[in-house]
Amino acid sequence: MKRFLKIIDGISDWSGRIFSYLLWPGVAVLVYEVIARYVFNAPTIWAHGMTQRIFAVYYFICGAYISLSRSHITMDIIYERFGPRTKAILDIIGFLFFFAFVGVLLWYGSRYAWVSIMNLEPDNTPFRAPLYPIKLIIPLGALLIILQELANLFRNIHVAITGKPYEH
Amino acid sequence: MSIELVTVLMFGGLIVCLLLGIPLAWCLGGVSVIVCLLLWGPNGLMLIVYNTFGCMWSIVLVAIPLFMSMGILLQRAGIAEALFETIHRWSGRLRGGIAMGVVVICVLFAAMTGVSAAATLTMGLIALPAMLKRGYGKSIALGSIAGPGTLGILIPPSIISILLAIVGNVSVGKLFMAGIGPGILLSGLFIAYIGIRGWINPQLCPSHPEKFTVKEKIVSLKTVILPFAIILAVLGSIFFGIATPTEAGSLGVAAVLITVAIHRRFTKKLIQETTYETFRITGLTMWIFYGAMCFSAVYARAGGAVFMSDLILGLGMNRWMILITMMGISFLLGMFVDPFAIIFILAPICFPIVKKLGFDPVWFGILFVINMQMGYVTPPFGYQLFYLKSVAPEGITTGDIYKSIFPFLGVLIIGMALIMIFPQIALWLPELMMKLAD
Repeated sequence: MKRFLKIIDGISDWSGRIFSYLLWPGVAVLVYEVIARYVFNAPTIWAHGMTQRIFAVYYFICGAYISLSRSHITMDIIYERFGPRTKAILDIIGFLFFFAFVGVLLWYGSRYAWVSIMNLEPDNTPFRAPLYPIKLIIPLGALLIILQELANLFRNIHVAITGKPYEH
Repeated sequence: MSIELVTVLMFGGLIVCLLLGIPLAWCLGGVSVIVCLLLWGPNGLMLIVYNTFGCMWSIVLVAIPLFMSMGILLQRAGIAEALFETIHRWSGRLRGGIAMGVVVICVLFAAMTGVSAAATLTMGLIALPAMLKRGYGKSIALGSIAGPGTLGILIPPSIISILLAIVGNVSVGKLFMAGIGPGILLSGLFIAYIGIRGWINPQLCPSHPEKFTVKEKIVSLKTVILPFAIILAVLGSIFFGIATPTEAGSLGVAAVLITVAIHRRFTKKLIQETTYETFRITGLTMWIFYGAMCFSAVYARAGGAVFMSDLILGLGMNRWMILITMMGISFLLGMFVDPFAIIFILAPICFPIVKKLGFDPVWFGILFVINMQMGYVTPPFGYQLFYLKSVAPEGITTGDIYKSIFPFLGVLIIGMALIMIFPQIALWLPELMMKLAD
């Protein structure tokens, strides 16, 4: 089990580290667009669509990376005062809300992506570049984050039952 | 289910979940899914996916990682140290000169980055020990960092303004431009306050004895050139309609990278840390945004926005009273709740009402942001106070920081009142921008 959890942690960490570098191509495309428009007087038709694609992937893959470090924004006025066991139980309740949301993104997102793939859906710009790979990111990203949250859930259950931190 | 019940269920559920320490993103998303299921069954859930995709596909939101990375790069590249040296050389004999200089640096940082943390953390590390060493009173030294540090969310580019503009359905460019006048007004008021305190009570803000030659002073000015170039690249390109706010963000990142290279701070470590940190903070923001957009879409589809505005307009109160009440509620929430959460909970309700009352939504947006600024510095839960505490030298207690903030809070309230009475302080620039565009 420990090995399994480590593998999930590793996936979240490495997918995050790799995809975080998408920032720079995103910046480059936008800068190129402005230069093309004003210096060469030739605006591109693809730069904005490209940017939207890059950052759609960027945000969505990030979910698992944040869940790994457990740094989602919370209001911890009350939470901070509890002991580790109560905290773990609250985290387990939190998982239910997480799963309601991201589970829907996985399940309905898959259907959404599937319809898009079947129709080879393009975007609505004159360029008509494929849109379906981006829609596929919704279930993929959701799956990654669910894996990571399941790993966290397992550790929380351990803490809730034994009252001791989970050994790595 | 009646709309009253939906309202109680959604907002009550959200607040209970938040208090339990469940991450804001999951509170918003989870509550939306549950209410969606209750109202429309499984077939209604596609709404959640559509709205999430809508956020992913938004080109406006791309500005967030861009302005975020600018702030992180600037903070880590040591630009603030260089600026502080300049301020130090120029402020010389002036009473409270360093504290006033800190206000100026906060403004420059605010105009280069989208958040308040960058200015507050770096000033807390550099300027605070320097001021304490020269005998500044704790209240002035701490307050003049925590208070003006909040200008980061008012002066464009600002992440809070981008989110507020999208939620409130106003133009990001206009809201950005509307932040400049009030930003200058508030920084002027901060400087005036420090000056007056120093004049009344000279021990609080001593002038410092070091003397610099004219040549040293002039040479030190070179540090100011690049920040001005960055500000011009970002705000100038938006103002003159050369670039959208998102494109301006990319120009800003490029300008900051060049600045960093000129300062010879361009290292692999800097890029790596900036990349990871930007990714993390952007992801946090975006996942909250997904949840929030689902939340307001579900509530709007259930008829909530109409219900709320009928309810409040039906009270028959004077429109100014309604406005001030809304400000009061957001201020009270700001004392306890994260500004992000306040925007997503209150703004979708407030903006339609404000429009119906015949107020300018851009102007209201600015008042809302100043309210968030106050939220950032009001005890017991103000981010600025925590940031400052995390970098403050030993011997500075949380109590010192709390006590120091109240006069600066007062300055913010005076500034807000002035902008309420004279909306043109905020609105002249966006109106000028629109005239230029025609």
